[in-house]
Amino acid sequence: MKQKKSVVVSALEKELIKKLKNSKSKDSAFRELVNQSKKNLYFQIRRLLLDHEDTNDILQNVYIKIYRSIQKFKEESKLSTWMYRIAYNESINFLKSKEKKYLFSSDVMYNTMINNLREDPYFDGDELDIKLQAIIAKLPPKQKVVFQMKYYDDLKFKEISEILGTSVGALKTSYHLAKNKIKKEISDNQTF
Amino acid sequence: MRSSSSFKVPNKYFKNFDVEILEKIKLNKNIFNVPENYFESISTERIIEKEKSKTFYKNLFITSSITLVLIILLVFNNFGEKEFVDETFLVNDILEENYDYIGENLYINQYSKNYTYQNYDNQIIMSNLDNDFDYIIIE
Repeated sequence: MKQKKSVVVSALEKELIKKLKNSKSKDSAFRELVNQSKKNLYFQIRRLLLDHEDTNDILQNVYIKIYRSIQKFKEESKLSTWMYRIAYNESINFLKSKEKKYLFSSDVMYNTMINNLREDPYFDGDELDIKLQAIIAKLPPKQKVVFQMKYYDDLKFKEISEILGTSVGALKTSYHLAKNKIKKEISDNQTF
Repeated sequence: MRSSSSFKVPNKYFKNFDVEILEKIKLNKNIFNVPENYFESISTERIIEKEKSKTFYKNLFITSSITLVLIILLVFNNFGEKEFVDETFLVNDILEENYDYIGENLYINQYSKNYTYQNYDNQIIMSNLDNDFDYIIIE
């Protein structure tokens, strides 16, 4: 018999989950949840999609999914982990559907996305940052996501493992490969 | 003083440590901006309303579909063959003079395509029967 995972969550989170699952308090609890999480989720999605408008669309979809599915949340992970997973899946699905428009050429798609960054009014980086984003964008999907979650979001491997459904060992390998690739590209471009 | 060499570190940990830190600082610089008041404008009301109206329309669709199916079943039931006396059986019975319907209630399917019925004071006239008979009067 599969043992139910036990996750240590704060009393506040437990209370919030209880309110979210109660039809009477769901709406007010949902507002609280959105206020707490919107920035983190936004930037998690934005780092994958790069563009603000796309990020806004996906963020809305993520919250709709959360609102719809909260009854099904089994509490086997933290609420934030579960939400991250939804955000990650939505972002990856969006990128896959976008890739179809580029006739499945991810290189062309990412090159276009990186070029668009130069014109993006909501991108506050220089040419160096653009090059860095280009390097990260071209990493294999798993390496890219692990790198971003570890470096930008400071998540532990265990948390990333719960989000992505991949073993900690595999994640560490992906992360190590991603870091080395980035370092090599950076030093080849003499950016530091 | 206790020697720090009692603690072990991974191989080459301190090599390029300063570069790694600088890299981390650079990488952590937030290069993604958002429109002014973007986060304040994220409205949960729209999401909740959208979901509630979706649920409303979904329920409306289900209720309407069930109602429509029930109406269709009811109509077919009303227009369907009732458990009346089958006209072929009735005609054959009359022809063979095996019937005795006097004094009994006789129900005939009035919607039969093959026959027309006229009821005159307990006389039922069936016409357009088969080729050999124009009509039969049942008294």
